[in-house]
Formats: sequence, structure tokens, C-alpha cells
Amino acid sequence: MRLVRLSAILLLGFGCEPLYAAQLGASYDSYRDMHRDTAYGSLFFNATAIRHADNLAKKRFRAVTASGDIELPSQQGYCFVFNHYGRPTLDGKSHSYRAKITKLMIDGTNRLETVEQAFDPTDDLSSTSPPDLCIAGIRNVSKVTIEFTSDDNNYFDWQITFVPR
Amino acid sequence: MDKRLENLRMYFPAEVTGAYLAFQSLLKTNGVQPGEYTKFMLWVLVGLSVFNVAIYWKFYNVKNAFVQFILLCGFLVWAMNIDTTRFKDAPWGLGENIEIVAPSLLIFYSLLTLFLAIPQRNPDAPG
Repeated sequence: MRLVRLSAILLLGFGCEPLYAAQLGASYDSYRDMHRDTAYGSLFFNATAIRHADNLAKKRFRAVTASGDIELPSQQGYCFVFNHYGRPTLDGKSHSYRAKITKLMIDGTNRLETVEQAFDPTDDLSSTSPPDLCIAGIRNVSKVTIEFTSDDNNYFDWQITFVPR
Repeated sequence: MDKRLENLRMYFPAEVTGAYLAFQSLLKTNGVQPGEYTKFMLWVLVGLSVFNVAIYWKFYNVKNAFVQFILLCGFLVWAMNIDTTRFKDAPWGLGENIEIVAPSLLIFYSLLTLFLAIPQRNPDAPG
């Protein structure tokens, strides 16, 4: 029986899920809801925002539920936001997060960019200055991988991959 | 609740409530979602509050500061209730429980209006 099930999983993929399947989850239309209803360090895709200024003005947050491949809509750029509310202890210290962006070009070469920025954990539910990242320059890019890390334990550790359209 | 809101709107000059609705519509037409442009609409609210007071003063002969204050509060309660999503991110924690606070204030204000006659416009006022 076990052999049959194993064979089915291997041959047909029944009952198995990809190891790293990130999905876009719940939508949030305000900083308040996004901060209140998700955990510190949660990652969001901000739909239709293509640059930093948009990322502050638009509130079309879609939760990234796990590290891995995510499917994003066709856009000229892609912006992401972190929840910086609700840290278990607020010590008043600033922290920094890093994003290692790897762009796989159509010609097969890789381009590596790194971004490091400071952020302040907040106790303000409606804080409009979350840690964020926007990806531009995606022409001739076939795949983007972003590895987020921070000096704040592993709250901001994410690794996502998406195909720009 | 909608009826309460509509009744409350009768207390304010149509120019002011109409202007607020026009700004809302303007944002919507330009693809702005109901939760966005919070600060912009707060400034609109401040501007319209000034007009609200001025119009009551000039065209309704409401010279009593307390009555003006009560009417102004009513206008803000009305705006909070018709634009709840937008004011979720209002600063200083004002939006934290707006879904509960705004309708509660509306209920109290509706009770208050039992003791407050709708201000009458001067017959010679424009509009």
C-alpha cells in the first residue's frame, strides 16, 4: 500500500505539494489592518506600486504566505512592504534589513544588487513608514530572486522568486 | 444606519457635504482606492470644516460658538461614517477602532439632534 502511494506521488504528484510554494494570501486596504492582523516581519506585495513613492501612497497589500516562488501580475516594477508593528519587545533601537536581489537575465547571466536600509519597529498601528523595497529595471530579466535578511533575529528572513511579466 | 446618516446630512449646508462627496468621487474616478489618500482627505475635511463654520455664520445666522462647535462635530461624524475605510489610517490612533467609534458617535449625535433644530438658511442667502 505504501509502495502504491509512493508511486502515485512520484508519478502523478497526488497529495504532494511543492516544498517551497509561496502564495499571495489575504488582501489589506490599510496600514492599520495590515499591521494589526499579521505578525511582525510579515511580507507583502503592494499591487500596482512600481516605485517607492507609489509604495507609500498605495495600500493594496497582498500577504506573501511563505518563502518560494510567487506569481505576480504584469507590472513595470514590483514593490514589497514589511510589517514593522508588534515586535515582542520595543527597545527603541533601529534595525536594518538587507535585500540581496538576483536578476537572471534573458541571456543567462546574473546581476546582483544589494540594498540595505534602516527601519524602526513601531507601536503605531497606522504607521506609514514601513520597511520596503521596490524592484526596477526588469527589462530583459527572466527571473528575480530576493533574499531578505535583517539584524533583528530571523523576523525578516524571506526568500522569494518571481518571473517579471 | 444609512437613514441616520441621511438625516444627519440635512443638518449641514449642501455645498459642504456635496463638496466632500465630489472629492470622494474625484479620487474614485482617478483610480484611488477607498483606503488611500487619507492625509489628503483629512486636509479636505479641515478646509470644508472652515467653510462649514463660515456658511453657518453668514447664511444661517448661527453666531453661537457652542452651537457652531456642535454642528462642526456633526459634520466630522458624518464624514467619518461615509469614509470609514479611508480613515482607518488616520494619525494619532484615531482610526484604530473607527468601525465601532464612528457608528457609535453617529448614534449619540442622532440622539443629540433631537434637541437641536435644523438651522434655517436666511431667505436672502444665495443657493
